Amino acid sequence: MASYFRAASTLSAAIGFAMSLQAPPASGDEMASKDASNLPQVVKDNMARAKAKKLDKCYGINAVAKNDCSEGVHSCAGQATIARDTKSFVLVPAGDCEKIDGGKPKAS
Amino acid sequence: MSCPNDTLAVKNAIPARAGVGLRFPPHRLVVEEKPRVAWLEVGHLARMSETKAEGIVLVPHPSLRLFTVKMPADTIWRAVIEQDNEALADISLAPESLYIMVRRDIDDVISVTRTSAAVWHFARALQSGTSLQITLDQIVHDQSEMDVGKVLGGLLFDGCFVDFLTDDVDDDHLPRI
Repeated sequence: MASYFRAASTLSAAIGFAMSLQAPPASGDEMASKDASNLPQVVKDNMARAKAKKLDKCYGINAVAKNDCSEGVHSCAGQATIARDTKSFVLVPAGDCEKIDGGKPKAS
Repeated sequence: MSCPNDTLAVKNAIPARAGVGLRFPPHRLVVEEKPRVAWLEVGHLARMSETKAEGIVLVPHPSLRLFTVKMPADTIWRAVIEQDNEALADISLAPESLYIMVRRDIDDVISVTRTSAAVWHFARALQSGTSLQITLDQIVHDQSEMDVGKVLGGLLFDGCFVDFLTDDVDDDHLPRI
């Protein structure tokens, strides 16, 4: 009986954890919250690159037209019209954003 | 990102690093060549009766490969793919057993992940067709530090499995591959 409970409870915990990972984020996050099948190819490519290379978004460090994406101010990659835009991000190695002057992990 | 040229680049760039050149790229190439099949929907698993949990066997994704290496093959591979000479120069080749998981992930990207020995043995047991209960009894029983619910949840979320089987032959779940 204890054996049954162990498998059942483990599976239940695993399903709960997996579903929590699948749930969309509470905040509006362009790359994460949209249905992936509807995203522009450049966004899909960025998502794949970020996942494969363990990259994080870093806001406020882009050069003009050199951003990877943004939070709602323009469609996406390469469209930032101002440098160091606090709503546009560049993908950087995880943990490096806050080492960069002006870099913020969240849009502001 | 997952084009065959990546593998070719690895073979050409690090031929002298025995073990990596011989073992790691072929694993990755095998994963790349595996068919794209549907991953197990967690909701489908959630609808299964709890009473069947003891006998459940998870069907692994055909792309899933688990292997061990004695040098940082994953780090070398990434450094070569990214043409990062600085990272290549920093790599320590001191002998160390590493536990590697290679698979096609839910974003259709070939994922190379270094895991702990405990997670690797757990995943390996499930991949080999061992039931969840036997895996818990034989593999996890002495891994008290491992949060097995989170580990299994992570494997499910990462798309390591495509289906599940239970002891009940009348169940409506049959392998889709």
